[in-house]
Amino acid sequence: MEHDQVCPLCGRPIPLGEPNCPRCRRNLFLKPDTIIGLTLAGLLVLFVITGLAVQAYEAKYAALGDQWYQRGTKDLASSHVNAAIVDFRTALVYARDDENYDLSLAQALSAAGRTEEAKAYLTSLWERDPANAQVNLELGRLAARAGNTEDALRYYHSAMYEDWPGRDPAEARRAVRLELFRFLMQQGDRAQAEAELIAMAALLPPEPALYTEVGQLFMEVGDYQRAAFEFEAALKLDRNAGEATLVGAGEAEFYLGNYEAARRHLDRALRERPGVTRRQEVKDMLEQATLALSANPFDPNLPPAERDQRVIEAFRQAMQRLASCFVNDITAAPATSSGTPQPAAATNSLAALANQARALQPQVRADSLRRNPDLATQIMNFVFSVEQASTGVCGAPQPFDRALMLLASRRGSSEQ
Amino acid sequence: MSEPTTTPGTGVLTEPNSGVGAHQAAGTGERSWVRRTLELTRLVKMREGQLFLFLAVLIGVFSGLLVVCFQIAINTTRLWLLGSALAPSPARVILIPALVGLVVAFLVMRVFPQVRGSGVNQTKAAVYASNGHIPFNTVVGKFITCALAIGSGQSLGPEDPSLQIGAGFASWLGRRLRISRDKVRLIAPVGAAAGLAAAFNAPIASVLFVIEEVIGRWSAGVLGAIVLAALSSVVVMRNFLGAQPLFRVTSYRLGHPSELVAYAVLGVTGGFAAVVFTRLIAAVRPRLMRLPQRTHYFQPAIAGLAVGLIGLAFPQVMGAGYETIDQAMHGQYVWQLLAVLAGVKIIATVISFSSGAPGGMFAPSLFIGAMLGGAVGGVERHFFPGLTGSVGAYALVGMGTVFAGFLRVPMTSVFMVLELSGNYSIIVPVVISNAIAYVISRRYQKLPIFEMLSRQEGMDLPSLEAQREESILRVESAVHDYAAPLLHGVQSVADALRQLDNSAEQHFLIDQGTQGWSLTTKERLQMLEQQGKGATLLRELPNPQRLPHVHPDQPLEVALRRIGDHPLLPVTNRVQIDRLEGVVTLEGILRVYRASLAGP
Repeated sequence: MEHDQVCPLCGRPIPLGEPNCPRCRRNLFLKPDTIIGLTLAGLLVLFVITGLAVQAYEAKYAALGDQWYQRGTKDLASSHVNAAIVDFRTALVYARDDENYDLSLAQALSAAGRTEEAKAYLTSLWERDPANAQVNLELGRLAARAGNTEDALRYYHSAMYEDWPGRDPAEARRAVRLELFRFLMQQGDRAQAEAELIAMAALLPPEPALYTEVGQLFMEVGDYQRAAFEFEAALKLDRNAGEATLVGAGEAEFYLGNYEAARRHLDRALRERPGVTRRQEVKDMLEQATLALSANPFDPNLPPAERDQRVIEAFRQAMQRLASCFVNDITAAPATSSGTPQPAAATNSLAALANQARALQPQVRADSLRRNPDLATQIMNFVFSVEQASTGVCGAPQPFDRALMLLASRRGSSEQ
Repeated sequence: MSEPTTTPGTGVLTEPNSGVGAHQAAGTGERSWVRRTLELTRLVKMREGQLFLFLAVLIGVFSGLLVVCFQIAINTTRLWLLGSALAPSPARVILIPALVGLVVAFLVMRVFPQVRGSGVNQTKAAVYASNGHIPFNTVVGKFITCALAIGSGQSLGPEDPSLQIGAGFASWLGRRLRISRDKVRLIAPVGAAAGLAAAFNAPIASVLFVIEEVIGRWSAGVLGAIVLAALSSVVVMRNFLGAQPLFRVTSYRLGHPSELVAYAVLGVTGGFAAVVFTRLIAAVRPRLMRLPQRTHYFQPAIAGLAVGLIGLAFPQVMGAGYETIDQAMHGQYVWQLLAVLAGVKIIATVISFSSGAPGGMFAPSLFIGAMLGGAVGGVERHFFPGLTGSVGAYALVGMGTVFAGFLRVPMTSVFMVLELSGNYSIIVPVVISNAIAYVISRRYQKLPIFEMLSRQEGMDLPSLEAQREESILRVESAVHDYAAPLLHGVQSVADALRQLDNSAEQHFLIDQGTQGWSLTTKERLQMLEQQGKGATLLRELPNPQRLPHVHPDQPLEVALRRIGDHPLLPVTNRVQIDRLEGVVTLEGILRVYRASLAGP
């Protein structure tokens, strides 16, 4: 039969035209309009019930998620990493899509050394939101830990360029860049590390402490020029800048061979900050700078007599230094400070210098220097050669030797 | 109360003394909004086909709401019974599933006897054996007992019960609305698709599953309604629980085509795991079913105790295990643990399901697949670190693999993975892995799981796989040459008689050109000639016996239906319809059928 109906109670077919089920024998039907109306009313009621149930359920789950998250945070803070992992996982059961929970779990896993698991969570988070700075930072850290410079750079840079809700973005970016700098230094990639520093320096707000910090980092990579610039900038911003700034500025100028500036900063540091850390080191450096200044015959403001005197003093010191290399007999083979024989190259070099000294010695006089203006340069070049050749070969240098070495290196770098 | 009737031939349900005219008579002119709203409810004026589609949406919405409530009920029950920790206390783990098992058994045995099992076969049985009738108390019973069983930690899932809940509601609504028996039969699968789609958050996979497994055939008549219902339910579910997929899936990219070998290995492993899983159920369940009736009151409790004991060591296997799948997909477990979890879950699910505790097997099969996939992925990555696929990707493919091998629904499994991952680039590994698992499962396990379960329960229900297995007999196997002279409509009667002079045949085909084919006999032509109509053209003969024709590639049953009382049917070429390929006779058709029964 084409349009048989089915009994709502027993499921048997009701032949066409029959009002009632032949088995149940009851008039079972409401009007279809009524059924539809009741169904729609039922739908409305069920909608409301479901809505209320979902609301209560979600509230309960959110509370549970938060409860386990708090527990995990406490465990993580007290270094109970494994317990924290379980807590965060449980929190995620109740709030699956809470990115904070995911991130905390990844951090806990990472702290527990379970890098692959942490990476899986972070990758999933990253796929959901590639612009999440914190996720990028964590991925960068994992890549750094794995020694993967390429990925680390990518993620750290992403972390820098994305938004940092809830934090000062400039400060967060600086912290990220600093972390990346540390990683690059650890990897021995000084060039990239310096590039990061230059970028960081370009975006610094006018805060002396930050300039000082960046200056110190430039010192780490050996870029004394930029370091000195940062320290000077810090001092300009705050004339009463702290010890670190003064010492940093002094050191930077010292390494740049600007001994006058170095002496000024270091002296000020020692005078104004009696409790300066590395006091002895700073003092030594100040002494070096002072000595270098007093030994420098190339100061254009020096009177000629004073210049000649300095040249003669330098030559005398070089001869002493050379003599110390040969102990008793300047023509014998030189010995190291430990008494063992020198390598042939060093021996030859020192022997040649000894010969040069014998040839030069008669000319090292005030009248010769006055007559021949180029002689001072010739003598000083010899002095620098002796100081350089004897380094590490002929025992500990005297302070004056070190001062001459500084002048030698400064001259070398200026010639370069 | 006057009863509504169905207008013959149209399927339009009408109601005496109702309708627009009646309202106009009663009204005073301008209709109030109340009346207009009521008019909207007069949906029964629709043709039944339209009403069916409307009902599909309504069922989808209702099923979505019911499934949302069902999931909340399961999760809330779990919270109450087992607490909020991932690993509940030992006392709870051992006692709760056992005690709740007693309650569930009582409810199943005494109050809701039809809620036993997963719900798929019960829905199928309703469609094929009970005119689509699923009692409403089955919906209620399934809701309560499954929430208790799954929430207490039995190793079962909520998807198949959701399917039955949706089907049950649809069946109830269809019956109440007095739609025809045929439509009531079809409306249960509509509800089933809606229920499953909401539970899975995967409408396409759910539609395919219902077609592959519940209806067992592709039916254009119901496909639209099923899709509408599935989509409606998913929209409702997402509205309440969010649009996120069932699992958070990690990214996938195929580094090199050679990596597909790794997924092929997963297919092999998954296929054998599916066979083991099915065979264990085949071995354990009938034995437990055969035990005396009184033991059925205790079986779910004992199963609960066993699962609880397993749960002491592996709490991950308790319940549906979605959280564990999620964690496995994020590489949270080492491959050794994943392999153990896959094995333990098989045992726990066999115990829970065979005990008669109501609940589904979708979630457990996904769990087993995810663990196995993760384990295989972990091993492969250990030995071949160059493989780019994450453990999560293997877990995802593994889910589809075991699903395809265990439930034997290859299309559903592929689409399920695609819908769960939202990543179509994973399709190649999924197809490879699923196909291998499916082939292995078919090779070593003749009966698909649902067919096996229905046989255990004394039923014989159809499935799409069984239909696919059946060889189709075609017309070409019964066709033979037409030996008699072929007449043409442009010939005269006398001319035709001359052509048939030496023929001993009884019936002769006339090619009528664009008019098709007709049949005549020598006696009829002779009679016409005797009546002085020898010059009449054959195409002008009165009352020609028009013949339907068939093509060689058509199923033989088409020829059987068309041949009727005709002695033969012309078999014509598809692209040159007036070219005769031969003829089929009833005797020839029957001979082919007999030969097919006798076997090759």
